Amino acid sequence: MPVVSVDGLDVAYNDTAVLQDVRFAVGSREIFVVLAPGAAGKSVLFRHLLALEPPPPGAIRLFGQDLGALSGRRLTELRRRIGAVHQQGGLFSALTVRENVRLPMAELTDLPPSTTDVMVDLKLMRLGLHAAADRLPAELSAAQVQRAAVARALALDPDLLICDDIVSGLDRQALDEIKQLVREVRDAFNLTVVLMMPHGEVAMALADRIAVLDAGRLIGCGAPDELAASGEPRIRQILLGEQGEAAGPGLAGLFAPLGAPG
Amino acid sequence: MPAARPPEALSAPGRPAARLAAASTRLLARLGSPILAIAAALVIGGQILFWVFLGWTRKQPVRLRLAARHVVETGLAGLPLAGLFGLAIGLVLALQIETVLDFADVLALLQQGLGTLLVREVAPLMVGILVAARSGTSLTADLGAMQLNREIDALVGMGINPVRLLVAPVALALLVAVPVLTVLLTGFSLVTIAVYLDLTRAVPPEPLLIAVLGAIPPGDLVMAFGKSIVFAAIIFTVATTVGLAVRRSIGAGVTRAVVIAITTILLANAVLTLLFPG
Repeated sequence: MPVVSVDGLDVAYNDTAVLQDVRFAVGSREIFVVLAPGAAGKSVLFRHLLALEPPPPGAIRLFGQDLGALSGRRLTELRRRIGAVHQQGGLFSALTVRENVRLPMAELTDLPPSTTDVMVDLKLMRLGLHAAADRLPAELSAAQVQRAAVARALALDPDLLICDDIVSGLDRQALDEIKQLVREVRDAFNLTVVLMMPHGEVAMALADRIAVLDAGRLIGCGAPDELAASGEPRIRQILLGEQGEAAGPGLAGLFAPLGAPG
Repeated sequence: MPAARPPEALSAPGRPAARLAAASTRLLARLGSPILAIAAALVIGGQILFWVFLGWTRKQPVRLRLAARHVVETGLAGLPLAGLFGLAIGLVLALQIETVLDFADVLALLQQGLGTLLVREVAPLMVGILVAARSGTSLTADLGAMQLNREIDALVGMGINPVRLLVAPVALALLVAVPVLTVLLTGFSLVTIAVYLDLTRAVPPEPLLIAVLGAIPPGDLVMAFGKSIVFAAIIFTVATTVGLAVRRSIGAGVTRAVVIAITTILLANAVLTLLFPG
């Protein structure tokens, strides 16, 4: 049984199709990359995989359970088996790295505080974050932010790790670090990993299989070698190109009077 | 990322409560329409009250320690301001009372009107405005920043209800702090009046205070308490609704929240006074 199975996911906002008939399945312990340039629908897919948007019934199954049909409580239980890394980390900016990793454990388990502390320290050590444990997210480098976000996602020992774009804005050294980190956590925590990214080169180096998403449609899916050998020019273009993404939310309100695009 | 960000779901569909939550967040995305905004606010207000009073039935009680910290933040830190408000209001009232001092039996006037005016109308309203400006804005700004930074998404993705974790403690704190501040502001005002009249006109303060306090009917106290609770609920509901709907500018959200909260408090005050004229 696949860990993740997406079967004909259609998403449209205001009659504009964002995702069209997306289908793929991810097996246990696989590193699966959804490779897509800029605004191809990665984040929308990510939000649906986490049920942050209500998915249509039957379209997404995680561990065999239909996300669109789960009740509130059963969904909460399912979410405990999933770790998520959001774009730009999504770390709680008012909390230190240690507190960020501690929060899911403190809120969602009945462990005594002393046990939680020990487990948090172990996680931080495992991910090489011990020195940064008492810093706030704003004081971390971009690579450390992603590392801390992964640490928090792994706090409850999930079976599945889903990451929105965790490579944009990283330099080469940080990219290598992230590649290594993803492989390490997959092996150490026995995880299935689904990554969204715009970065063909990293995807080729990291993934067991890649799904190529372009303008809301899957245009190819397979092992990196198979895709590289594909005759489709668009697939090759996305695989070889390094498309960055626009910066995230900023002070749009401050600039709106200047006529800058929001 | 598409230009128009889709609405966030606080929870996914399924159970009625969860479906209601999802509906409320869809409404949040279109806060432009006042009717939709009111509907969203009612749903969110209901959610907050659910977590405050019934969270323990889901084994997710409000973190009392967090709530206590917020009581300190809103209550204790708001104390000097409440004092200043009380002083200023008391002074103005004392000056006005002084002008009629020679014409009538002031003690009777104070007994008849002053207590009621202060306790029922001025104090709850002033504290409502003060807390909306101090604590409501900070809740809106925090939620807005967390929304933009995807921290709210992160919480929901973990299966932690952001309303329960972030809003319920503040809500509980406001339900305690607003009535307390109202009592304190009333006290500050009365003492200011007594001291001023003692200094300028040698009106003995003790009998004055005893007479005024003794003449406040229990109905006025109930009304003051009721208004405080209603205003607290307006503040945390508006702050949360607007904060979670922030998509671009936190500054615009905070402005919007404080304007809506204060306007709603003034309207609610008028309606309550009309319904229960005492």
